[in-house]
Amino acid sequence: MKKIALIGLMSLIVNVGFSQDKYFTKTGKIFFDAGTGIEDISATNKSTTSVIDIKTGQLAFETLIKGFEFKNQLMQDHFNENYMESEKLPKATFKGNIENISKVNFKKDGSYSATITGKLELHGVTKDVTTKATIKVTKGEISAICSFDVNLEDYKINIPSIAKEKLSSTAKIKVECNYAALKK
Amino acid sequence: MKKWKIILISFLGILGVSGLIIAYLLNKEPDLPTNLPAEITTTAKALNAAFSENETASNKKYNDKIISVTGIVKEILKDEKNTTITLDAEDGMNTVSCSFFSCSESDKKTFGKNCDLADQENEKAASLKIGQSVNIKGKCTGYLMLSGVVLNLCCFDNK
Repeated sequence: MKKIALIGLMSLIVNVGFSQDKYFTKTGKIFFDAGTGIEDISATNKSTTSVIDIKTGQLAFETLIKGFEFKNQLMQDHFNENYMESEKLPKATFKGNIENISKVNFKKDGSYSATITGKLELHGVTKDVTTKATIKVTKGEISAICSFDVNLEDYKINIPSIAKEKLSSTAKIKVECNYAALKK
Repeated sequence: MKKWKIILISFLGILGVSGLIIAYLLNKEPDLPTNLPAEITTTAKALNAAFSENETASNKKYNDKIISVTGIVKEILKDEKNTTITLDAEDGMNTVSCSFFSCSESDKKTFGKNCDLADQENEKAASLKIGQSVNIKGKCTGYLMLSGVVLNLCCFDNK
């Protein structure tokens, strides 16, 4: 399944070539928050790769689990070793589509509401995800912001009973990407 | 001194020291490579080639290690705060991405003096020129198919 997801991600670029329809970033940000209010359990990943095809509406993300930076080393170690098992499952991927691509005018400056559907692979489990996103077009540059919740149990991320008070069963995910036209 | 008193004092002493160690571990901030020595020294081309040839073995060898990489600046990617420098790996789109750390106000409370050092390095990275040869060290987090090797919490390695 992991290989299929990665091949799908790669095919987004390879199949359609390096045209002006492709926009790309190596510095996409993912914010993760799974605190219950007792303790700050949040992290940021600033090196997410994403590609978007503005003609077909296809988009893909790939991120490294070890790239999430916590403010506390012990928390970061627990996240990697006990919850995400990042040695064994080092990446998370998303591959999907902008469903209402016809409503987004990438040639005209503005802010557009988009509906994204796709498959999120996290912790070795693939699930369908649907979310709303805001796509901004400013002087030919594209940025996208979206937020969605991930039910940890759905992705076989088990929370020990001792941590249930501090750690929410649902993680809030926020994604922010600033894309540039893809050049070979 | 009576035996029970010695045992009690020793017990309280061990309890106190254990408490301090636990408090230290619970509050320890992640290390910034600014004050850590490089564990592996290589070039951007060699590091990318190693991952490209055998990602699983390279994950084991390089991930979580402080790597010092020599390479030529290919891109300087800036957002409102952070700078990411990509080093040419002579492999198409693949590069070694070096993400510098920029401290927020809350980070400053956590990282203290290290935060000032990291901010200085981040500013220095923003002023680099494409084509310049640099030595950068950072913590290896792995390999992405579409972009290459990723190093986090980067700083310049002044060997």
